Amino acid sequence: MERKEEVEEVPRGELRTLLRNLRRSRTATFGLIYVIALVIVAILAPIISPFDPYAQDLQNRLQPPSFPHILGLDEFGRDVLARLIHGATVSMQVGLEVVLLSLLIGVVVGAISGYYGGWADMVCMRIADIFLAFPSLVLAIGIMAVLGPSIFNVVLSLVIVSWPYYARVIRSQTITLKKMDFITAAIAMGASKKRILFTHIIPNAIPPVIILATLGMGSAILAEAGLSFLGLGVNPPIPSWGSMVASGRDYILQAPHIVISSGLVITITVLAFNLLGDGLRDALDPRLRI
Amino acid sequence: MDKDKVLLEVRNLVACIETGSGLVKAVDDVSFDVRKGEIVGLVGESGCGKTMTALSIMRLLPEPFGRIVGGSIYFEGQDLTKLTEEEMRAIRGNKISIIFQDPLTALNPIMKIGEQIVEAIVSHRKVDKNEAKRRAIELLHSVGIPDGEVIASQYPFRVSGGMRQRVMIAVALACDPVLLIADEPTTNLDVSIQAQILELINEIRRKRGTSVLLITHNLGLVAWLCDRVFVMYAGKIVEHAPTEALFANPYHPYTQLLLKSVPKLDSPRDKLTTVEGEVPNLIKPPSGCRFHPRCPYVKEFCRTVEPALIKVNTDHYTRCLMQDSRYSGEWK
Amino acid sequence: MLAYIFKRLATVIPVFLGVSVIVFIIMLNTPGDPVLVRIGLDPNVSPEKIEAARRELGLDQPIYIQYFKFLARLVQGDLGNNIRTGRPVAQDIMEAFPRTLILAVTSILLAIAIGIPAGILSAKKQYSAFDSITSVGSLLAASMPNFWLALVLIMVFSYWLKLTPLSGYGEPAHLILPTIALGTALAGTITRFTRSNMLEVIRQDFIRTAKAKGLKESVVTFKHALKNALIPIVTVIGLQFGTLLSGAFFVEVVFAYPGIGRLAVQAILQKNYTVVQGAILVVSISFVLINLLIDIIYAYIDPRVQYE
Repeated sequence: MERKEEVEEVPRGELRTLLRNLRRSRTATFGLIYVIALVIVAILAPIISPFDPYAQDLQNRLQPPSFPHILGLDEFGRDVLARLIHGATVSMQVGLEVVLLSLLIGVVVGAISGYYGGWADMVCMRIADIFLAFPSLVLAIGIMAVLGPSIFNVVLSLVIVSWPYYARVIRSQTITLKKMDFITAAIAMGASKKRILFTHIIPNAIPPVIILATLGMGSAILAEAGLSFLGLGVNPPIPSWGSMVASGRDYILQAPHIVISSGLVITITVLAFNLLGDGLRDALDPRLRI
Repeated sequence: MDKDKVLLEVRNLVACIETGSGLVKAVDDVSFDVRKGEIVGLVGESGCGKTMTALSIMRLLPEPFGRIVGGSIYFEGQDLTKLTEEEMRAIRGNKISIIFQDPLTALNPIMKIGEQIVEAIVSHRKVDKNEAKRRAIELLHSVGIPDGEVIASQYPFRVSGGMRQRVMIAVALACDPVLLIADEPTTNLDVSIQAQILELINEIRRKRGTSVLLITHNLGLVAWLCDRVFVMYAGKIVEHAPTEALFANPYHPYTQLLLKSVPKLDSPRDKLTTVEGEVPNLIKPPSGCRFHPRCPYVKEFCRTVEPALIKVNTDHYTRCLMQDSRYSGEWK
Repeated sequence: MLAYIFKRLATVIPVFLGVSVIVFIIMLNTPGDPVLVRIGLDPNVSPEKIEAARRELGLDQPIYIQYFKFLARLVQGDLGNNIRTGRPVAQDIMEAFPRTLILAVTSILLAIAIGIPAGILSAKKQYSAFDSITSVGSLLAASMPNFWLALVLIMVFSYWLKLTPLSGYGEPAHLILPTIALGTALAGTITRFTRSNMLEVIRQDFIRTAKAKGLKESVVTFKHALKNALIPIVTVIGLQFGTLLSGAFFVEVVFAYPGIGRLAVQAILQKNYTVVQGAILVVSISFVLINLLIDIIYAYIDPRVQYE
């Protein structure tokens, strides 16, 4: 006999308090609003974008910000703002896919590792340690060097590099939860190990995972920008903020607006995710306030 | 023992703490004194303000949330509330020392025990390192740790709880203070060790003449160690008397209930009495007599009239309207 | 202490092996046929020559044998030869890696010099304006892409103000901008970390005891609070070293600083895969060793760790 309502009630009540606590911090609120706005921009890019990001106007290349091209034109005469907007789609897409996939792998590996312990735990953690032995972007660079630039490969390499972090966190959460009284109660009521894992442990391990995911979005976007900057990320002419910085670099003296605007967007986006993640961390446990 | 000489006199002390939900008057017009060579007990349940009182004397209230708002603390002819931080620093650990409840968290985890004692010595005395080390080991011996040399080179987490508390006492005694404040010194210890530590405190008073302010919720300790007792409730002193008098004749209903709830081995009763109700909210304390919501003898006027401390016997005072001649008739 | 060191060393060996396996697997998948690279793109080349080349490169062996041979060469320090120049890769790396390490060290020093005082001050003046500004500022520093910061720094200081050299290596002046570009993010992280640790430590009981002993404020802050707060900071630096090394790749590219990062990225663009492989190996193994060192330092500072 499982009391399912008990499990579902816990996250929902927490969500409301979460939002309330979040609104207390100005910076976290800014982060939340920016992220929501970015998501909207990313989804509605083709509609919002004032121009076609691929349309070239070589006559007017490198035109500084002016009307109607508010952020100017790049080296191929393409509208910078349009490319930034479409770049948002790429960044959000990559970020979301990396985080969700890494989470999936991380949750499965971490929960099994933490809950069953023993041999499975040792093997999983050793494997995670090996991946963590590489400075993350270095490994990603290596993988991309071999696979070649494309959005799919970027996501793949970043997932390979990120999943161990999620696995570790979930594992320690699982271990902590496993020792808690309500789990002992469930076992006493005759619930099976698998049942306990899925209906009790995993839902209660969610809050720190949300924080990790939010901060992870920020890192994934930063990583994708870096890879694209090196030419190892998204393949041109698909607009990516990172590759815009790279191509703008060649014209940094005559047309600094390209580098400045693309880099600024990356910075503010990552900052927003970090502020939001920090705010969530404070809201969920004020003792961890940084 | 010169019991009549007053060492510490706290007069109308008021101390506040700012919490997230409001301003708490943790210490509300508290007065008591400690005489030379005596052990005074400050008793009450958790949250009644006794620890805050101790911290106020040492001027160790958590800044910026805690402040002394009024009253005075006279010690050796000076009002401690008016001293500068530098002057206060010269007194802390030197003339007045304090030991805390949890010796594990109260000692620096990454510093060797000996070093922590030496530090206390050299901040107030001009001695060289070696002399200080010698004294530290001597101190460890005097608190009942025979292998002082070995223990001095250990880290706090490597020794037992009882030994840690002895170490804390050694640190407190480093400069031979005239007053030792002990805040719940045995609460976190095993029962068997508790007795040893209490005996140690007694010995300190006997051999060194150190006065002790013992802060506790445990009336059993008070009966054993203290010469006089001050009972605190919701930030106020509600009764005080010499120990024997208090136990023989508790006047305040709270004191009576506290005494009843101490399980006695020789009593034929098989039910434990408890003090009913919850700890009062100190942000908005109850009106009139603060104990009225939990008092078994409560009358209407108890909710509106705040009782003052009334003398009921030699050196025995209580804060209850039942002893106030204007109202005592109501209970006949 | 020694027992702890040996225990940690033992866990490091399987990690080394794992790292070598992964690098090997990655390199197996490099596009292009190494045989063709070897013998040139002559369309008329005879099949025997191809076979001979294949045997010479050891490509006719089963994969696990190839791996063991790779491992054997690795242990002897043989990282293969630079496909373009023919020089041993180990030599190229020996030239480039120390330069990267210098850059990494100066960046860490800069980050600590800014981060720790800023963190301590923020903690002592919690809730003040200084604290709020520092909080956002440090987060901003950690959110900025270092390659972008590098470009902005060049634009401002090298082009407009003409204060620093544009690129290259040789004089200390060449290190200034790259150090700032690489160290800023770390400075931000260290500030935040120091602040939160100090805040936590200040609230602890033993600080109250230290004050109760009548110790001076400075002694309490530095001897008691900071020492305890620094412990996890040591770990953070170790963890961030990986990010630092990765970051060096980008910064070196922008400044044309001839470290291992620039070497690797150029090698990637030139399809010089032996160099890439060697670079990744060296960087990763150094990272593991540095973490090991950090763990040992940590155990030395915090004696509790050895007994866990």
